[in-house]
Amino acid sequence: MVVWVQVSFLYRMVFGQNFSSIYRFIRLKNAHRLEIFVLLQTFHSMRFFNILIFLLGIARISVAQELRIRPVFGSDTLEWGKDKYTSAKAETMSFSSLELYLSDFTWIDSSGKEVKEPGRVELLEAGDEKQNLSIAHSLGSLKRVCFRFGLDSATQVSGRMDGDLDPALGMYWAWNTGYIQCRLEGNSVSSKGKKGKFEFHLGGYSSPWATDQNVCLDLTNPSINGKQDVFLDFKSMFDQVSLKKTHSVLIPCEQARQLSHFLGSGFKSQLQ
Amino acid sequence: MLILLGFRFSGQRPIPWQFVYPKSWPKPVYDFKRNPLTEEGFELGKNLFYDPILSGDSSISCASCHLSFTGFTHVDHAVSHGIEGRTGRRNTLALVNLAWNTSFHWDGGVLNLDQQAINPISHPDEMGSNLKESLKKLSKSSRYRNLFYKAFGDSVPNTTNLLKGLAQFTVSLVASNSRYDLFIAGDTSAHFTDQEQNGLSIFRENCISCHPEPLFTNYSFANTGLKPDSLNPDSGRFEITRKPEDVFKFRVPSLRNVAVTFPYMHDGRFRKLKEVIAHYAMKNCQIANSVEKVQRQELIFDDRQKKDLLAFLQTLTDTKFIRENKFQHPVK
Repeated sequence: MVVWVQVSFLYRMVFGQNFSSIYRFIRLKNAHRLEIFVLLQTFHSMRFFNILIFLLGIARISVAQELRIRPVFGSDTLEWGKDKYTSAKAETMSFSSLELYLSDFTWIDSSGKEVKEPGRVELLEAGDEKQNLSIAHSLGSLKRVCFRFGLDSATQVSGRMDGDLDPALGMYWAWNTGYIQCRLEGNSVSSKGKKGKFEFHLGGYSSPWATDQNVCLDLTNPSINGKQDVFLDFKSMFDQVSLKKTHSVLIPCEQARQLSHFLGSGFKSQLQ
Repeated sequence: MLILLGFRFSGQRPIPWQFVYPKSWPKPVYDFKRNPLTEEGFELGKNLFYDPILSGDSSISCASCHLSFTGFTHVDHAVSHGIEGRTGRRNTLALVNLAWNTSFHWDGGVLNLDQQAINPISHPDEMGSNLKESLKKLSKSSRYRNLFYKAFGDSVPNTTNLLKGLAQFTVSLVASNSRYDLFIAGDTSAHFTDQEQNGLSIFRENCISCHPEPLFTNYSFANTGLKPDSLNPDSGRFEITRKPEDVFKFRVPSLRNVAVTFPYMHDGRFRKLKEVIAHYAMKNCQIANSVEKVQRQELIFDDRQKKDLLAFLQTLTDTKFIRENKFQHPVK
């Protein structure tokens, strides 16, 4: 951490730019980009600091490992904007965007080595334009992963506003302190929303409508090039909710709690 | 090596200052460890507080609704005023002794002072901006880059430092030097008249379950039997908790500086303090359709007692606080 702050500081000294946006870019995409970025910058300038940053970059190359969350509908890989998914309620729908918080990770690799990361927060996003559903970790091939789907109440009220908890990212409710745990939007002819839109902004962290939940998955898929997949199946939610009846949930309430649990049960390590 | 270089460029460290409050008061709720107070942080916060740059069209500042001379509230209108003449639906709360607040706003929807300012900045009827937009404007100002750098060692304004800066200023708004305070402390220069003394007794007999000394609020929410306004529907605390018993409950505000922070109640319906006292002395005060019974006893005051109570409430005004130079508009 200290080293990272220094890197960030030095970067600004040398280039006079805002490092934090670049830092965020690197962290959200994947660790490899850091090395490419640092390489480019190193050749770009002959300054002394860059060599140090470059050396730090090399030190990181060997450890880029990540878990990918792949949205699916039943056994189909999800294609954003494609109107072809039918739930058990016989409602057809398409999906336009997903944003969700995962936090408090525990990683266990095949040798049984465990790494706990309490307090770590990741905002994942996917949709027509953006795809960022990967979480970097420091172990090799994973045997098991546990995380919180959403943020717990302590994190919600902590006043931490750094990194992915920046309220400027649009996942924050100002009127009723708290972050939206998960935002899922799309369209369906069954929805009575404007132009058939449905929007589920699921949040709330206090009793009786706490939406955060613990998820543990035993991984069976192999790690390929450092990437290992788990799945988030939307069908588990839409099989249980009728868009005809409910097309919009935007506040902490019983429905938000219920829907988040339906969606949370969609995390799985294998496709059916 | 890196660390050494870091120190070389980091310049002067901000100067810390200690949050002070009367010894007899309870400990503040605000977590100063998360946002250590510094002179530079306070200065940044004060500049932000008085600067319309934070609003969508750069016309409204925090101070537009929270004027120091009226106890950091707005006395011209019943409800808050925003950009383009828009009005909100609730009365501006007076900013005072916020370090003890367990929640913020009339409905308690915000639980942390550091996060409070997001609400007025982003509300379309208040400053009508958003954090991204406000930060963009601030980062274009060399004055603010300098102020942010001095306070937090980072010249690029970000959400955390913007809100921490603002909180450093607002948390420092401590009013503890009213005539009441001096009288309680046994200061002989603070003489209470018989009327004020009597008012204090009436207050202690009737009001302190919700407005206990020394902060004059119990930080709860109460339905005081105000008739709902059909033109300005507002179910208060219920909007946050969705609990039926919270319908029409609103924050119990502190009574410090109450005489200068008119109008009163969540919708600013009473312009005069005597109207508020009259409301509490009203008989059979009950809201139709309200699940929860009105949470107060019927107070029986005669005219003289009302006047005495009024006289006592005037002693809660902290003139020193209101005129305190360091809280006034910064010199650019």
